Amino acid sequence: MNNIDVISLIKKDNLDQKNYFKTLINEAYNIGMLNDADILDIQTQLLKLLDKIVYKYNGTESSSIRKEILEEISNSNIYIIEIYLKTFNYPDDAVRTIKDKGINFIYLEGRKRIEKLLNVIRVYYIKIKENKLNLENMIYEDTILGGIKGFLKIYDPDFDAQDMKITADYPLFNNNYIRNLQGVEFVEKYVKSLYLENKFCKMFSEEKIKYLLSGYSTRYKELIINIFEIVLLEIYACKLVNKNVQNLIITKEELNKIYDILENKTEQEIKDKLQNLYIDIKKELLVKDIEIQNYIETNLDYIFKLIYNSFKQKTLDKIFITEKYIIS
Amino acid sequence: MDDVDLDIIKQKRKLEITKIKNCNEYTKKYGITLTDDQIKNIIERKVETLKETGRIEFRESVIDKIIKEFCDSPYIFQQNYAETLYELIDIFYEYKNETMDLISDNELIEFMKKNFDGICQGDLDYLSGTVMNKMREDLTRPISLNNKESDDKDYE
Repeated sequence: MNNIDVISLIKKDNLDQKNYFKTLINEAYNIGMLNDADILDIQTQLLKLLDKIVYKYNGTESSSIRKEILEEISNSNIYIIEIYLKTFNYPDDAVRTIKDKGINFIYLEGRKRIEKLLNVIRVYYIKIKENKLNLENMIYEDTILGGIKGFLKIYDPDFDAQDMKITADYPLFNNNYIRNLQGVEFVEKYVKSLYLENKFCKMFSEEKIKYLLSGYSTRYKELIINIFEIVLLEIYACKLVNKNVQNLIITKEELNKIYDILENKTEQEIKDKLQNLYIDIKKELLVKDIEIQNYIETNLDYIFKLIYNSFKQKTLDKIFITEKYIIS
Repeated sequence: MDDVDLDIIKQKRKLEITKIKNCNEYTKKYGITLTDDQIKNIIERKVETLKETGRIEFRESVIDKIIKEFCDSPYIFQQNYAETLYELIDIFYEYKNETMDLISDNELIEFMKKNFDGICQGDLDYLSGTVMNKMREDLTRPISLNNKESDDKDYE
């Protein structure tokens, strides 16, 4: 039993990130932290909050509202409440705060947190524009120049806080991890991740990256690809054949050599080899950058599996790009 | 949740009945009043219309506003008073949706009244079918509602 188990009766793992408030209340009710009267009180408070926000939306101009707008506002309120409740390390504390301070207090704290997240997004937007790669990949350019800016322009934290009004078509290395997030939480993670990916790629010459991407596909400017992942995989390829990673490309002969190196090795042996290579990469490139280290490490298993499966299926050429033509 | 909802609905209904009854004091100088049954029917009709138009009413009801605006119309008298209100409520909510909430309650009611007494000469079908429809089209163009209101020819 770990510390969290002792301190919190409600297990954070039992709570659905997309229905955090609902599952939190259900869990609290099931273990007796909340009783019927508490539930009724919370529901009344939610209705009062809804009434207040609808009035803010409608003003004195209109006495009725379309049902779908009411639902949007209601979802928005719940999203704002959840933003604050998720900040508690122990769900029990979140439930106690609901009981002691009430829904309106939590809503206002959630609203403050959204403002903070928006400020973080603004700062990262500026930083991303500064460390952006000039590779002319359309989706990458559109997301940075149009998507994030557009989000900051039209995001409506008062009435539509949960909505993701962002054209974030550029896929990230950690897409799977942020997919469950919504609204401003998603965008904050998205811009932070994009910033780190750019920072990592900036360790290499843009010309080398362009050459690498041309080897990936001559149509790389139009493709929906994650540049960071292509670069990271090529670093592994270089490391496997003891080549300077700054070359960022291998030859066909070196690709064949990789097959030889991995031949007759068990899955675990390949994994260990790749793990050791990652330690080398870390020493060489990421000594001072803990954030990028953490970023890569949350998805390192994916890289291992990708390399292992490609090796088994004899498709390493799809992930380790080889020189296609001589740089002029 | 249902208990809370029911309490709120009951309180609202009571308040609404009182407000409409109070309107009788104001409208009797024009020779028109509503009976308790008619008030009940009007509220039920409004609830149905809200359901049909997918709208939810918050805070004050709009019925007393419609009554006070229309009670001095030369085309409304005791015999057609309740029936006309039913229709006006339908038209009101239909066009709240059709105009995508771009017009406030008061603006919409005033527009309806001006044309009901003017170009429509009390014809509710003409009001709902032609005048309101034209107004909706104008709004999407977009042309100022005020300009169009003053130009009755556009609704002929």
